[in-house]
Amino acid sequence: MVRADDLGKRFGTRWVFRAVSFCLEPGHVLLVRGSNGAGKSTLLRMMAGLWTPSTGSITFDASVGRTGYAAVDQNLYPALTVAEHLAFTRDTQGQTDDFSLEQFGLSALADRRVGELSSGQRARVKLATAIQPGPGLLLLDEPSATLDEEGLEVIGRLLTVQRSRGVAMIATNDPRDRRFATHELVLHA
Amino acid sequence: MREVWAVVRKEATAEFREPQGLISSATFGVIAVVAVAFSIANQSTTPTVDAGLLTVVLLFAGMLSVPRVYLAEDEQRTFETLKMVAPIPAIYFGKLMYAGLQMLASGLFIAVIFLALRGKGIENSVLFFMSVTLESLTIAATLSVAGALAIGAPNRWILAAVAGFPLLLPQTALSIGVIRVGLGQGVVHTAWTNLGGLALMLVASVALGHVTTAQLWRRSTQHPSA
Repeated sequence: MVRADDLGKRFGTRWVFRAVSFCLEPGHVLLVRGSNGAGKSTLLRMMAGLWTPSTGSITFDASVGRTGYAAVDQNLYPALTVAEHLAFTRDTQGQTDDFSLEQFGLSALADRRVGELSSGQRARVKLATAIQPGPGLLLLDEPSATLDEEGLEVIGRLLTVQRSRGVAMIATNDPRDRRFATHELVLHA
Repeated sequence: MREVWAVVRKEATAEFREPQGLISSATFGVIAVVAVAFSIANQSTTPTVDAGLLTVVLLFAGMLSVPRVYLAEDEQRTFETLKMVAPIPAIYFGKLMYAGLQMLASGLFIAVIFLALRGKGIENSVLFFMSVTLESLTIAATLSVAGALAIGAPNRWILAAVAGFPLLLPQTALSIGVIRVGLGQGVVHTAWTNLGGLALMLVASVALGHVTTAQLWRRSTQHPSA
């Protein structure tokens, strides 16, 4: 379904990682861990298409469709409210269904501007944005970094849904996230 | 089209809630026009000189506001978020449409103030306002190409200037050629030809921006259907 062959990323003369290969079948949740600088976030950005691999290739089945991406260093539009942000994501993806804020614990924050939210609340908005298109591939970079236990339960529920429609990758060193994974990939700096 | 309007709405909402760009552009436009009007007051400037001054004010008002539509994404580090949720053509045409509307409003506002302070009549108001409209839209399209090229580039201001200069130079000459006839100097037939040239510059800039952004902003693993 999603296949990475011999992936490598180099910045200048420094290799972040080399020869990374894996294949994800429907229902797989791949947890990517490794020390700081090992390339966890880099790998996810390459899977999202934001960065191009220096070597190797990434292939998706046609069934994968959209990719959802949420990262701890990703920014949202501070001037938009939570509801406007999600409406924007819905409209730019040609969707018509209203999105449930309830499942992300965002109902009470719908009219608050994103710039006024705490980092944990913003993390939930990012999750909602990533999951909204119903992606075949869901990429979560450090998803639990700013979330409380309730937030982690939200991630757990989302990943259960995600496993029924595609695959997911989580870049993290948080041991609490291991419960979500079906497979693990360890990157070495 | 729905995707394009979503981007236009997002731009407008963000801009009106935090209107630094609008305020600086409007302030510049008013001050520049008033300064120009004072400097030529009680002097018999030719329509060609007046047209040149107005075109320069329009151009610099555009340079303050249009690239901001693109570079604000860089400053807020939101461009990757945008690329993940919106199709590239929707991003480009949405931003272009917002920049065009903003520039058109600024251009007409500046032109009206300029005419009021200049204190002389217009010879051909149709040509004059058509040229201000087309010049404003062409400035928005040209500077959009420059802004789009510059997103994410480490030396973005230099890149924007290098990309914008060869496009802005001919359109400035064409604009002056039309506006001066609107103000009463020159041949009407030539003005229509120049207006056609401006329209072609507009189409060329829009097409160039579309093709360029489709390549530059493309995600390497984006599924064709996504």
